[in-house]
Amino acid sequence: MWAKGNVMDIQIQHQGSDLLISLTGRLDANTSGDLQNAVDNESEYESITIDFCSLEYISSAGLRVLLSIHKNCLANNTPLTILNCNDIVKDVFNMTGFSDVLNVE
Amino acid sequence: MKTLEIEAKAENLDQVTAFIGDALSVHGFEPATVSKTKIAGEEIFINICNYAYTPDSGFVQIRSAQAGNSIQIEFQDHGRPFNPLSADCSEKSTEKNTKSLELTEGGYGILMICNLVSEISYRFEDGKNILTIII
Repeated sequence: MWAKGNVMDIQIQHQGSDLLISLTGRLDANTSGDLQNAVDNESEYESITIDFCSLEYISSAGLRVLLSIHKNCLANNTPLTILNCNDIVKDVFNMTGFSDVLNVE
Repeated sequence: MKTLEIEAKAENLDQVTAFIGDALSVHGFEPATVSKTKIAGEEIFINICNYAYTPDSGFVQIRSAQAGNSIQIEFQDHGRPFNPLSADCSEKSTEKNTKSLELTEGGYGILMICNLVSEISYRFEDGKNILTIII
């Protein structure tokens, strides 16, 4: 499924029991709600993988949505993995402490 | 100097980041620096959108100017006086290092701005909040 916004595309695939979400663009104040909605609209998965390989950057609005997804996953014992962060996203995760909490590969 | 005057609404964010991108790219800044400055600009602009004028509306003026090898970007609004730097940037960093499994819900914006720009300053002048970042 493709959800197309102004500056972010979300591609969602079910790979076995894993929900794979691939992001392209920016996870910012105007697009982060799209990610939350995309996750909320899915079911029938046992783990979530979010691929950041084409994500330019993430702002605090994006962090809040990631935190929400992370907490829901913890509550439901659903593994959450973040893949392929660029250096900018890694910097943001490090400066905010998210790298200590999220499973970032 | 280049100037963008725009209504303080989140839907105008893309115009703000495009203005910042153009201001830096024309001076040959690396893409990573451009992206980091866009993040800082978003945090500042969205903060103005959320707090400066509510429940009314108002405008933000963004000015960019070269200063030696740096770029100075100024955000001006006529909203209620508010110094975003009154929150200590180091507080959350300390908190980050002492916690393990819990993250707090907010406060990341100012922490990110402080980490993403070379200098930041605030003044209230002629009825305007003026926040200046230097890249």
